[in-house]
Amino acid sequence: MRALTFAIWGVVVVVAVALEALARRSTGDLVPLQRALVRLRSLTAGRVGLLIAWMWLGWHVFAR
Amino acid sequence: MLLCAGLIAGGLADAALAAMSPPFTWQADLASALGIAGVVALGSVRLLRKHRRRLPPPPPAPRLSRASAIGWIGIGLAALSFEVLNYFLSPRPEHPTASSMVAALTSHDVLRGLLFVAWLGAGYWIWDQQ
Repeated sequence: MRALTFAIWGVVVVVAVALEALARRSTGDLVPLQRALVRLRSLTAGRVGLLIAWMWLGWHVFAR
Repeated sequence: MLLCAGLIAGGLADAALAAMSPPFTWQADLASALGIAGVVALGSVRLLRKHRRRLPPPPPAPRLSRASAIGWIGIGLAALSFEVLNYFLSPRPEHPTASSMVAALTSHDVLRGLLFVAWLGAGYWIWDQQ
């Protein structure tokens, strides 16, 4: 079961990397993750959401 | 310039504290709380300055295409769903969550310090270009 779980995590990572690579080559619709996050940050609700997610992540990883 | 150097020095000092403090200790709580407080204070100062100077808002970032939105939101939801599924399954070694894999990295002091610097940088980025 452990191997299957790691394999599924691996698939998620590979799909994300493939999408990023496609987006970097694309001149059309698909944008890289960084540009998607910039769009999210340009909205007030998006920026607040990013900030809350950032706080939670830091506390979860480094403190608790 | 001086303020910038002070921010970098403060961030590095906080990262050094985090590197020396394993999770579930009061020192780790302090390092994380200082990081959050510093980034929130920085953002608040920027917001106040912008309000006082009555600066025009930056031009909005271009809208995402449907393909981009579906792609990135889809991957995010897939990762989140799998994380939640593993969280409720046991035993943990058989069903590792992203958190448990990151915890393996943060058990090393140097890696924890470097990840902390990256986390502070991400917090700074959230306030950039406002």
